[in-house]
Parts: sequence; C-alpha cells; structure tokens
Amino acid sequence: MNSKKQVTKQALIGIIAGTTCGLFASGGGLILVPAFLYVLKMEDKKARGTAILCILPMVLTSSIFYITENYMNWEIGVKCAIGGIIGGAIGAKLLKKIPTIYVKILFTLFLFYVSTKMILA
Amino acid sequence: MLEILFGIIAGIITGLGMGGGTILILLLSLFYGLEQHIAQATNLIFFVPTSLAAIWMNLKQNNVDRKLAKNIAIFGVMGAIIGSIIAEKLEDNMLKKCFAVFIFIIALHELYGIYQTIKMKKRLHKIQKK
Repeated sequence: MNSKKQVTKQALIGIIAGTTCGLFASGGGLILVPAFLYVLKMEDKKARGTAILCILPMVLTSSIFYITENYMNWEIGVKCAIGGIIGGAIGAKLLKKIPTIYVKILFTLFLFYVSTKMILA
Repeated sequence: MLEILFGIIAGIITGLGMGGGTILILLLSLFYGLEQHIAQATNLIFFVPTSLAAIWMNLKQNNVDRKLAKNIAIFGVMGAIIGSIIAEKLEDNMLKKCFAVFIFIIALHELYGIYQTIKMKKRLHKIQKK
C-alpha cells in the first residue's frame, strides 16, 4: 500500500518534470530538486545528484523531437556549451567563496523583470 | 564570442546550483534575438556536455539514489515526449509567453527560498546572542 503510494508520487513527479523538460527544454532540475526535497524528503546532496542524472534521458528524448523539427542550431549550441564548461568550473569554485544568497537575490530579480516584460509584451 | 559569454554566465549559475538553463534561454531569446524554439533547442545541446562531469562525480561519490532515478527517468521520458509534442504544436510567440509564465512561477519559488534563508539566519543570530 505504502510503496504503491510512493510509486504514484514518483510517477507524477517524473511526468511533470519530463513534460516541462520537453515543453521548455529546461526547468527539469527546478522541479525535481524541490520535489525530491519536500515530497520525498531526501537530503540536499542526494536530491541534486539524482535529479541531474534523471534529466539526462529527458533531455536526450526531447532532443530527438527538436532535431527532427529542425530547431537545432549546432554552431550556437556548441559555443554556448564551451562557455558552459568554463562557467561551470568558475561557479563550483565561487560556491565555496561567496554567500550564494546575493546571487540568488540578483537571479530572482532578473527573472521577475524579464518574465513580467515578456508576459506584457 | 557573445555565445561563449552567455554560456559562461549560464555555467556559473548552474555551478551555483540554480537554473542555468533557463538563464541561457532568456539570454539567447532576449539579447541575441533567437526564436524561442531555437533558443530552447540550444539549451538541450548545452546540457549534455556541461552535465556529464557532474553526473559522473555524483555517481562516484554515491550521491545518487539509483532506484529512484530509474523510476523518475521512465516517467520523465514519457513526459518529455508529451512536452516536446506540445512545444512543436505551439506557435513561437505562444511558447515564449508560456515560458515567461513558467519563469515567473520559478521567481516566486526563489523568493520564498530567499525568505526562508533570511528567516533561518535571523533565528541563528538570536541563538548566538543568547
């Protein structure tokens, strides 16, 4: 009974995260991490580690659709990915040095500003 | 060159444990003029090489619940098929609006997280004073 309930929860979390990943090609982690933390009561490190692994098959599946619809711009994508690898290393180093709350506040303000602008446009 | 800079910014945000992918899509569509569908596709390309190192590290350090990952991945793939089909059907401008609403919800969630962090810090401060 209990494990059945658990599987239903997992199925719902998976479907929601996957649909978001397919629809917006992003946001899988933004859904999975809080869901793992608050619904499945996991600890932070394990939640993040499990989430990023779960996203990979979702991204690969979405990619098949985006490739067949000809949405891929490989040149821009590869350049962004090169920057991403550099940025990821910088971010991991910064994480140990600066209080992330300030970055979070800045990030949130930026999200509010652009989303409101886009909705009203 | 601008593309690499966008990648670096998104990479830093990802490294800090926030939504780097959403930032990349926003930068590409707002400051580079890419169509929403193309900007989103770019993030798919971006994700694979930038996440592989993190995935490998997490597996090595045993930060993965493998059984849960398998279940979530199965349903996640089904969801990804549904989401991708919806994205295909949506007109570019409509997809952009939906994405904006999604970003707004994320911002609300982040705001709540910030509020919680500040509340916790204040409580810690009080305990330390005592």
